[in-house]
Amino acid sequence: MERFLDDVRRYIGFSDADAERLQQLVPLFAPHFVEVAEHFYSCILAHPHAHTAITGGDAQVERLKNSLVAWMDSGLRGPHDAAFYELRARIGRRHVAISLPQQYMVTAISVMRQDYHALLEQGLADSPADLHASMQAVDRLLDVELAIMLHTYRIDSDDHLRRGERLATIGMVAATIGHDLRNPLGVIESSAYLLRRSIQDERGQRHLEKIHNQVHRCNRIVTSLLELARARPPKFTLVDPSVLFSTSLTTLTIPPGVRVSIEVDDGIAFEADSSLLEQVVINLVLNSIGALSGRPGQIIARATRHDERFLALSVRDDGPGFDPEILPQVFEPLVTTRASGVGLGLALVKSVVDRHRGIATAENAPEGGAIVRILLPWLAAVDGAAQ
Amino acid sequence: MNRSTVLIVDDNRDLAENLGEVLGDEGYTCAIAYDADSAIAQLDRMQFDFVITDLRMTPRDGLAVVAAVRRQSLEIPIVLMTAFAGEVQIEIARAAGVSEVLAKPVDSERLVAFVRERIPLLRA
Repeated sequence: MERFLDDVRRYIGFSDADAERLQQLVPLFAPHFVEVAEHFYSCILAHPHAHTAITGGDAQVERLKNSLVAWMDSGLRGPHDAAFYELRARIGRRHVAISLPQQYMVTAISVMRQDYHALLEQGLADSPADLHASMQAVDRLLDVELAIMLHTYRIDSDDHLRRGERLATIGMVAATIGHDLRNPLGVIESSAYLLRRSIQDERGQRHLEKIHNQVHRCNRIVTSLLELARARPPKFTLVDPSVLFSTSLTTLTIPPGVRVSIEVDDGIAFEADSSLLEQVVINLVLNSIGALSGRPGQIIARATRHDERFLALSVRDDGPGFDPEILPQVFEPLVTTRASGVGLGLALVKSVVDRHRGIATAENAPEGGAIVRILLPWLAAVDGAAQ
Repeated sequence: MNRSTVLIVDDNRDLAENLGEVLGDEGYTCAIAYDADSAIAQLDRMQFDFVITDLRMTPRDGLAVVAAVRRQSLEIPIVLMTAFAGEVQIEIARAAGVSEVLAKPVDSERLVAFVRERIPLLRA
């Protein structure tokens, strides 16, 4: 990382003299930081794909503007060290995480470059020599910034691809195993069924009931595996969230002491694949049930109008919440908080949400408990959400 | 009057036998085959009232059984059981004359209800 920074500085010709000059420019630029940030985000938001990057509305844009101001300040002020590098690298990684193509970074830097140039032309009009050197220093700084972002973008994007390939392999193996498990499950299920009819005593019946329930549980895991591996494109129909929630809940056995409530805004039907979304709801509620691990608690499934573009589905519980350590990776397969979980549920949720061109996030509520929130477009994408 | 007959075809012997027992308990007369060819041989000897077959079997799959049944009659209900079928496979199966596709593991209670709905216990 340090080596890359040194190399790129040398290659671009960003010298200590440039750094010193930039520091001296802080008083000239600082009063205009907010203006530049405003301009920067007005350009970004004007782009038709901006919503894929910015989903948090005005509040998020305000936060982003503040960090842009801090970013401009640290760029000019220096030092251009590991911390400087890390902040730029984070932006590259973020773009990969939200699948934003890298040309947006180039465009964004170009917007900033124009504004910096305009400020220099105004502020240093009287001394052409100063203006020239300052222009050069600013250009070099922005080139270094861009190089770092593109570099981390590439590294992360390679990782992303490799992870995708690994997932595909896991998926194929999982699909084969899942498929092969369904026959023995069928034998266990039918044997338990036959025994239930011949065993009369209460204790035997109780155990057969357990076998029956566990077979269904295994089958749900197999279904998740196969769905994850197959990743079939959604078939869109009009979905009523109340129906979606109630259909999903009827297939689940809710343990005593656990209360599940449904809250749905009026008139919020949307276009989605109902059977895929049932898998999503079932997995989220099962996760919450698992998180409560036998304790009494409450699970709330909610569907609300998020904004013009998205409907929000969420499932929250008052369990212990996600382990903060694994929170950033909860949607990766084979990541689980529970000792008994296989870690496929949320991976499947993410896969279904991706296929709907939606956004899935997981967080811990400030007052405790886990929340998984899903934003889904009201309408199926015209260019085919299946990709 | 004779009891209605059901042919069950699955290369998982335990499963085929269990389903035979499940439907046998209901009063149906069940015959079992562990591969498509022996199922077809049984079909050549007699006509069944209901056929349940697995899809994935070797050397010939469940669709060979479906074709043999459909050569005899278009009326006999055929259930195809599959551990996992894509939509294309399901469409092909329907086009071949399958009445219903059930995902494995087939819930015994549902299977009983399903067969009862479609054929009477006793032959007319």
